[in-house]
Amino acid sequence: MGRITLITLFCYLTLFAADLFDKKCVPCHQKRGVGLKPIFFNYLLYHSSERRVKRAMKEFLLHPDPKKSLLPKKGKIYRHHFDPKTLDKALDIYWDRYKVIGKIK
Amino acid sequence: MATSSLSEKKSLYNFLGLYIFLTLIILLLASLMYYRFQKELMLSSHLPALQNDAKEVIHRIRQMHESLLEDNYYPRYSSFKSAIYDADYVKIFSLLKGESVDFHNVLYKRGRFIYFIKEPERYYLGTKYVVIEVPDDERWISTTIKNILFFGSIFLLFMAFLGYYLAKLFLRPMKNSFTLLNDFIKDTTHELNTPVSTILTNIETIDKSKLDPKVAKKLGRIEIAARTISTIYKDLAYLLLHEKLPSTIERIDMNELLAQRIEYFKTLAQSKRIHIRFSKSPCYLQADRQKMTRLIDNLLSNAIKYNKVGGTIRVVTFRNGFFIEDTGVGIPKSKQQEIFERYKRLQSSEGGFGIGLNIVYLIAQEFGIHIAIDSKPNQFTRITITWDE
Repeated sequence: MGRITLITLFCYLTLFAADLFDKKCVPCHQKRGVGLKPIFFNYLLYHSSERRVKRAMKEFLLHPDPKKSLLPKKGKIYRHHFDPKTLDKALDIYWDRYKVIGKIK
Repeated sequence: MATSSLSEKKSLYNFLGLYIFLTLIILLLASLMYYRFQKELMLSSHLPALQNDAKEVIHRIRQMHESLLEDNYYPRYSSFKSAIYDADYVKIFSLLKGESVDFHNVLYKRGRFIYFIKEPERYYLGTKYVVIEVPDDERWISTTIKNILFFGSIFLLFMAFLGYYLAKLFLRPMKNSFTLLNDFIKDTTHELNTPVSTILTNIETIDKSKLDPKVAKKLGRIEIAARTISTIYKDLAYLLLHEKLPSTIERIDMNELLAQRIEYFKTLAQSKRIHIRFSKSPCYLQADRQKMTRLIDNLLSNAIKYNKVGGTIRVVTFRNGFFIEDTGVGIPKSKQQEIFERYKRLQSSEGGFGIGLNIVYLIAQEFGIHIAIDSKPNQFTRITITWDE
């Protein structure tokens, strides 16, 4: 019973995070014309590894600083209001969606 | 003298052994350094080509990055293989044949491949390390080994000759000392013979029964001293000349010879109130009489010298040998192997040169005679001489 509860909770959280990324992050970036893919490749260009990229993204999203911005277009910076755990999950999805490992031929 | 020559040779061999050992260590270290140098040289010769290869890969991944991986075909070259790794050493993509990469070295050889690691100015596709792998034909290794063997042999030969020359140079003072000592012993020995023989011959002609007891006692002491000098003379003469002395093999009645020698040492034994008991069984040996006399004299002389005052000496013959047993200080087990070495003396207080048992050993060797020692400190020493029938 306990195991079923745990699996259910995990699936819920995963789906919730995916839902969050697709419903909150993607439409907002599309609306503002700031593509998520170019941003991802800019982060790769300056931070290289998964650990470093996620750390830098999280740092910027929680404490936006125009000087540290890697957005392709310079403009107004919006403060995100996710709690750190939700943000971690959203960033995991973001990484998995655009990562280069496994996509090179 | 043979001993000095042997000792000189031993010192020479010891020195040469140590010298060659040290030379080999130096040679080994030099070879190792030469090998590493050649390896570095080989790697350096590949560096410009490897840098070009890395540039090509970086140029290509930059294009892939700028296309946001819409163009995702990784470059492939026939002359080398490559791989890209991120800042946490996670493999992004690899065509390498060898799996593990040493990120601490920029240029190195592992197995049959040479590796070069280049860091792009920016992390295209997240790449911090571009690894280039080229095969190494290893021809340089066989050339290096050939050079090491060739020049190493020449160096070793040169050092061996130099060592031999140096050893000879260092040993010259020792050789001179030996020569001086030998000459001195030869001259002294020669000069000793005539007066000692004269003293002994004259003493033997004196009828002691007609002498005053006090004078007879004094004469006895003179006789002992003369016989001791005579024994030393004969030992030294043997040591000096034994290699040149031809052996006259004859059938010796050992009972008769032993009795004669016991008689010869009687006066010396009496001076320490030592009683000599002689048990005879038929005993014959094919050997040189003069040399066997030296052997027996030395054994008897030691049995008297190291015996206690009032002690006993037992001389027993049997079919293929005899033993001489004293009741003296004995020889510790640990020293029993050493006593046949020349100049080895167990008790310096007793005088002598430590050559007696060495003479026994040399004579025994010449005639295939076996020597066995049985001894208990402060109780007895029995030296058994046996030969094959």
